[in-house]
Amino acid sequence: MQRIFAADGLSLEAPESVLELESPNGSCDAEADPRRIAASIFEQQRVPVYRYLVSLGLRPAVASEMVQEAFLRLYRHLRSKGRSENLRGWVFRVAHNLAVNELKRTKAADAEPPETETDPGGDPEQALLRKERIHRMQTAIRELPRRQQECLHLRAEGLRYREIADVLGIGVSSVAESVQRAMETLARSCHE
Amino acid sequence: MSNFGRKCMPDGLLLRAVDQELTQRQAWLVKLHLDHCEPCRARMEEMRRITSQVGELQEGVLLPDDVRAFVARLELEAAGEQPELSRTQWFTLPRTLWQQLAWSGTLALLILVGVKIWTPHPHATVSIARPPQVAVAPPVAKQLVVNTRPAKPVRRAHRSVKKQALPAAVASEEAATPFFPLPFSDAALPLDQALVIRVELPRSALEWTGLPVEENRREERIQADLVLGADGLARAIRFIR
Repeated sequence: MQRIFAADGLSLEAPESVLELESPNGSCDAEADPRRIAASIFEQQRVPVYRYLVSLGLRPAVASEMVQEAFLRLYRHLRSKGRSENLRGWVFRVAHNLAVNELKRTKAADAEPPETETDPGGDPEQALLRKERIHRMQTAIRELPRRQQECLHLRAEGLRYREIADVLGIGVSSVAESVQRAMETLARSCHE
Repeated sequence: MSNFGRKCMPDGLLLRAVDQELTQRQAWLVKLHLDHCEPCRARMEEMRRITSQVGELQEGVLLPDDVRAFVARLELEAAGEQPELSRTQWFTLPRTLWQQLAWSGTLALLILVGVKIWTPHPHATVSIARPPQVAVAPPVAKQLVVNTRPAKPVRRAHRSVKKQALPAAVASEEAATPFFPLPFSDAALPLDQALVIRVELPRSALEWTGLPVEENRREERIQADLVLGADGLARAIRFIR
């Protein structure tokens, strides 16, 4: 396991299995190699980014493509000696912008909800209740205003309010307000 | 205990507590309050439950196995990469002496070419200032062909004369006034094969173009250049100092 410090507050464990990248000049300086950093952050953050893009309404195949594109841009950003603070927020912002452009282009904002895993084992009654609850929650979230949805999904991926504000280009107080309104709406819909 | 501890807390504050977005002091006050407020505890628990459900929804999304594909793309990108210059790197100052000399020489050459291009050529055009309206009737000059046509607006005459290049003889090095279009000339007539003739006129002729004339020198003779068109009609005049 190779430890890479890619950004402030984001130390990454880079598994050797995936990051067997040949250094172009034979250097072993992992901190200076943008490829290793990009690949490492990809491993760490691709799932949250992918889930966020799917939750925005992108089809899974398109979302996967967008994730790769966002991380390739991260690599180019690092290669050109771009800022290395808050790379997670940087990737989310790029992915968000790519997704918004794609949705504008294809007008697929109202795409069908993403395919979700179902637990094959366990109590069938519990599984049915869970499925119903998930469906109700999905419906309630899709009825929220766009901005509230985005804030909610980014929050669910573990982003801080400050990071969400950076990704969406809005103020922290707007983020807090959007999340609060979204939670109030969801609470009401759960009690109906 | 303050009111902060007694009243129920707003949802926003509780939500920030759930998201751990409070300052240390705020978090401590909220904790104090929750120890004694059952409704707030219940509301906070509800928020945690909804948060968990939203997270559950996100976690249920099926994930593609695209790590290998990404690494391959990354390798491909790195293999064919051109060193991409950042915004601040595209221009670097020359370091060695010969580079600095080459830069300086190129820069000087560019400046010279620019100056050469933008400097107006002294013989290319004759700028003719627009004279004020002349109310005095022109006296007859010795060699001046008198135009019997009705006068046209001065503005048109000025434009017509200015547009057409005059012969090189006109642009002599003598100290002279600019050419003034004559108020009685016909601007509609073409100025092909213009002819410039030197004439002698009384100083009072300066009044044609609105120039000042001293009263006691009105009869003095001064020299002037007249621009004649091929039709023999005078178009413009300048006075030799």
